[in-house]
Amino acid sequence: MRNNLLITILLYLGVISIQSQSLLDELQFEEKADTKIVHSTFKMIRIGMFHSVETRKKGVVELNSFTRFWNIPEVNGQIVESNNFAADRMSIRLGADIAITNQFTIGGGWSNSGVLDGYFKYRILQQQKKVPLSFTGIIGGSHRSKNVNNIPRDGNSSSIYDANVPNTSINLENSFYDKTNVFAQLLIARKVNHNLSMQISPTLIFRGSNRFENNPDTHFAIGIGGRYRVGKHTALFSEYFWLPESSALENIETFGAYSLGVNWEVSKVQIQLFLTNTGNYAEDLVITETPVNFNFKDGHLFFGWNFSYALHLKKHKN
Amino acid sequence: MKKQLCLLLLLPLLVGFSSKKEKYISRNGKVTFFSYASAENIEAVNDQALSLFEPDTNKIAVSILMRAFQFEKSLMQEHFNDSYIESDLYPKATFEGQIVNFDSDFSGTQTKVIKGDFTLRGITRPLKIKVDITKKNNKYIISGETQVNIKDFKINVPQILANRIAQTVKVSFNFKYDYHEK
Repeated sequence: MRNNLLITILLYLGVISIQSQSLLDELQFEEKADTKIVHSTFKMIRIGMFHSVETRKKGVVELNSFTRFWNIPEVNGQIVESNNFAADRMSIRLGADIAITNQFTIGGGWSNSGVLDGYFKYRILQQQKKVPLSFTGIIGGSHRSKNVNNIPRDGNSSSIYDANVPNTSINLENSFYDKTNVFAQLLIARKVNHNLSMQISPTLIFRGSNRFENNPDTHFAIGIGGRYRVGKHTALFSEYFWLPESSALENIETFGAYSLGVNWEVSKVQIQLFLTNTGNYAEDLVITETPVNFNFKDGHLFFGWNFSYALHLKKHKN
Repeated sequence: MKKQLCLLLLLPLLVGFSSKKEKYISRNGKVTFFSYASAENIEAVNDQALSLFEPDTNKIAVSILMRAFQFEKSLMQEHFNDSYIESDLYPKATFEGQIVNFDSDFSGTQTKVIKGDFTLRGITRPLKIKVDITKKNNKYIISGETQVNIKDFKINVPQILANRIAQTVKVSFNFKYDYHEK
């Protein structure tokens, strides 16, 4: 009898508590099930030097100014170049990225080393509650309007700054096609949590021509990259491109392109500050023709500064 | 004696079941926020706000999905969700309150005060809003506006923009309620 009473009281309290659920709890049953698309895997359409899975919404045009600054080391105890302004040398790429649709972006740029580059980027699949990864495809290429003599002719990467050793290019310069390389990339990314996003990017690069017979015409490379948010508007990022031995140039030792930096965005302005080991911009050049490894010595350390400004050509009408 | 006690306990249950309260629902409530800024005004509209209204108890509940705010500029919308509101972590804002001195028999428009708790980014603050309540053909319309101080909800404006973005945001809303059959 005592037990029965206890059960009755418990039942009573239980029903009372169901009745007294708040209006707000009741509202939860009315909420539409949304697809839970994961947004902002990366904040910018580039992680740093290389593309991220992100594309901009239709009608956004981003104007870019990318610069690299570096010092020239002493060769045999002799100062080769010096400049008291900021750094011994600098390079710049001016470009634009245009979002044709929410998924499709095209872009291009010109750099002062005479390289023109361009790409088509399509967002294939965006990470969702039931889709763990984002996929974006890119095809692009670069054309050298003048020869990029960035490799020492003697094949010794340490003599890159030696004025006595003439530099040469990997591509030939007889025709338009000789001076053009193309690439295709699949970007696969996952936003692990609110702060951390990772990306892996298998890449194929096809050379239009080869000055040195032993060098491969097709390169396969894998890039990895990631960002970690350290503030509401600030994130750290890093990227690295790995080329297997069979895909790397034979006539000279090359190194994987690496960058480590911070990006900061506010309003229409996006800025990336980073350290890297290359002064070039086009994907095929950076991935396959980086003759120095990353360290803090002169000639190896490049300071990168990417600046983007967004224009909205198409505005949403409320 | 014990039998009587049991009956006594069951009585409020029966009463509770029988007096099921009337509810009104708004599925396409419009919430707009507007911030005056020296550089450019920031405006966003959400027309998917959800609300339940219970005229018998004067209680009202609102749920606003942050991703449903539409901005004029897409990058602004992305910054709003990613850097300011952090919609990944705090997907919605909610309000739960009660209308003071509400007369449910009155047909037409009456101006009353709603007192309640507003939750944004996981931070709950008491809020008092003056609203217009219109009853017409067994439907209700509740509209009004209020000011929200962004610092109360730890919304961080970078120093460089501090002078260009207003500290208070004007939030206006309009909910049209239909009888909720359940």
